[in-house]
Amino acid sequence: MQKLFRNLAILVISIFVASTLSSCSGATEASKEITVVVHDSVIISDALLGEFESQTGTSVKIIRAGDAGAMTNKLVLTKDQPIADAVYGIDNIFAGVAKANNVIDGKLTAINYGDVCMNYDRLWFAKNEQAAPETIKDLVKPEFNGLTVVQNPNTSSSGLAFLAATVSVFGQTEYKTYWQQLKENNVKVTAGWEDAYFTDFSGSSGKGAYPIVLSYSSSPAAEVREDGRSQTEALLDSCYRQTEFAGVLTKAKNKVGAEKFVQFLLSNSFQSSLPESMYVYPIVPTIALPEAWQQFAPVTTRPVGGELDLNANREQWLKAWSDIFAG
Amino acid sequence: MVRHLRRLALWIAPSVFVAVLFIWPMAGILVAGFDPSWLELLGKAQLLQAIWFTVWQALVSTILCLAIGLPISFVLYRRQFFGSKFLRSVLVVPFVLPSIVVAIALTDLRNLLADSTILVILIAHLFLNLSLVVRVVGTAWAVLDRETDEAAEVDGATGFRKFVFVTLAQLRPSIISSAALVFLFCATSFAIVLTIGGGEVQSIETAIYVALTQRLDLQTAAVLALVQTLITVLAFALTRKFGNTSFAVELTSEAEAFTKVRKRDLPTLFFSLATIFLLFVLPLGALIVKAFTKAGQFSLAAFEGLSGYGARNLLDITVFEAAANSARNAVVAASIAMAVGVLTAWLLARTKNRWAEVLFMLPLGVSTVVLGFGYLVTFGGEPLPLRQSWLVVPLVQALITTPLVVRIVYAAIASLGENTREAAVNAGADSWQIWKFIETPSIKPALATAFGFALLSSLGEFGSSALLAYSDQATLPVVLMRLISRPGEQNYSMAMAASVLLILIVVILVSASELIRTRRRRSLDA
Repeated sequence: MQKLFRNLAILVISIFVASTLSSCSGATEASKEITVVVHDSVIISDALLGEFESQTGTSVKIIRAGDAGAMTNKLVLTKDQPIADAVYGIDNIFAGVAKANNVIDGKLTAINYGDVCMNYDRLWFAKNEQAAPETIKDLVKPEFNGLTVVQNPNTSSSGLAFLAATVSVFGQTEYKTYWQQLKENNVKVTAGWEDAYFTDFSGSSGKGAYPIVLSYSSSPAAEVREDGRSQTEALLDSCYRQTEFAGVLTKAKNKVGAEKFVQFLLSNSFQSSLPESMYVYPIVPTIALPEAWQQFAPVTTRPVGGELDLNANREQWLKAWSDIFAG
Repeated sequence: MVRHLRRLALWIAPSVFVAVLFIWPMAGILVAGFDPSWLELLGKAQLLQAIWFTVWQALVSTILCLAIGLPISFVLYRRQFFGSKFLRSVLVVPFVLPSIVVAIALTDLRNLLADSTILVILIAHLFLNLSLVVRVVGTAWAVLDRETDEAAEVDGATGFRKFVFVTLAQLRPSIISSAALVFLFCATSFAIVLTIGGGEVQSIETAIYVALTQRLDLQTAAVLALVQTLITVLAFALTRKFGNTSFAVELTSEAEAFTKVRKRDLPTLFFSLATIFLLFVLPLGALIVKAFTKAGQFSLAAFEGLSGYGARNLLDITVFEAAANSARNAVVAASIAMAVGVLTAWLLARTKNRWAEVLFMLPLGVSTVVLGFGYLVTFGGEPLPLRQSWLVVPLVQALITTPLVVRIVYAAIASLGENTREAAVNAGADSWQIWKFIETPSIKPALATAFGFALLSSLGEFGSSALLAYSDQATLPVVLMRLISRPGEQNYSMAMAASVLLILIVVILVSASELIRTRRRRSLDA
């Protein structure tokens, strides 16, 4: 008996020791390596990382840390013993939180942007011989009753972006009326983008029941069918522009390497990889977009909501929104 | 005295395990979030509502699971018919599916019941946890002595009375154990409530998630984590009150007592098969059809993609590599959980210390989101920089799974009864001999069940893997989630194919364990 359990105890303890040892050797070594924390949707190919390493002699380790909100909050909680040297993917919603908590050394650098827009299923409206919506104001009209699915702004960043867009379009109090009308027009609310787009939206492979979904202006480029046309289209009116930033962490071990990496994110080779890999637009205006994007994912010329202070007003908007949808 | 000291020494390993991997990181978050205004927070209507919803939905889900699980476990573990083994494996599948896949599998149901999301949440909990009741109760039921049954029948106890006074009484430890597990799983259910509830239905767990990841509100998260701990302790106290009596169950050399279906079993059989068909075969079938369809036609394209990196190289590793990570984590996590869990169950059966018992339940009842953040804060640097090691994921999984192993194995040891053990002690056997010759052989099915669930819960675990498994360490559910968080047909169909891969792994794993058990029985018979 004792023998068996002694062996088990030894097994458990040795696993602990092994883990401790292996993690020690895995820690970032000065100057030759940097660790970059990114949100879940960031993609940087091995080829690009190799390019950075051959240019600077510094190798890069990527850590994913949840969505932009979870990542920023983790950085705040671990700011004395940061999980990385640099961060990429903090958006304009959480940039304020990062700055207020002194997580970032110096400034945040804009790297890419994307427009949160309503998408609609072109084929659905053709099949049902109905005119597609032209602005988000149409969505509260009776003919669009029960056709729209959006994300909950409490749990989804695209949902929050759209809430901000409505504040900007309708004004600080009238946006509530708009949401009240949307609710009465049977808008469906999901927790995350995945569920809305793949389970409910009729224009995606999930073939749901709702022909209008809150997504991105770039999404139609992913829905090009065999006839060479996209099944979906973005409503370029009232889009909220999400910008994503990179920066060096305050207590980074390798600040020099981290700063070089932020500069690398602005290089031509990284910027031109953005549309294909992450479905976002490069911040450097001279970068050419892929053909499918020029055709199906045009950037909006008049994004809304840039003037709003999200960090200061978020709580108040969310509360108003929740009051409408809880009742 | 010596015996006492020896036992105390044996407690060291499991205690260190829980202290380092659970109490330390949890304390880190609680201390960081401590605030004198905690009580005021608890007065907020929104939080009270979330707490109330959590408790009642978990209770109702548990009752549903028991009401539907008991007849099914009778049919699948007490009667033999064509396909019964296969159905046992099918029931387990949802246990490992990521919640977004469950949400997709239940699409038709959700559309049907669009007006009552809460009902859909309850059904989804049934879908996920039914197998826990069916298997835990079923394995106990399968080894119940048929003679007791028949003796009761001779005494005139028939039908319902016999079921209540004889069978249920003997099954009580396993029923209470599985009910406690299902209750805690439903009370901490996170992604299902979030996804199906559209973010509008608030439970303790979703409130913690929003507080930690969106608002950096440590106070609220800490208070709610404490409430979870309290609920776990209460649930435990209740199970102890109702489940503690041990029954002397006579042991039979027959490992499983199967009978052919009799005429009077037909209503139960029909009810069980109909439930399984509607709740399991249809939704899982719909998933499988999606994986094999491209543009409305049969296609294997999605599966060919599994060795690649997804559309536009979305993934860091291929789906197959992720499956290998998952398999490795599952083996490591399940081995640790079994080592710690069986030792703990053995010690608990002897010491009957209720504080120790509740301590080893706690990891199951507390938010994995809080735990994950606790790991980030605690294991970042000296003295234990666990955060950067791949072992961190299997260790958390082992921690979460250990209570499961403890409950299943402890229930099995308890249902052996004191009498056998006392008789053995009187005959001069020491603990080791009792364990080796009496306990181990008779709880083998429970050990197999515990190991199986430990493997499965690691395979399907998403919360901590998503938080702590970095880049090339991603697991199958993590990769699946990444695929489905991008638009485009290729990624969607790959995610469906990855789900089918997961389903296949589960069915093979569970069927293999059934096969091993059947063979063992045959060799016993010979």
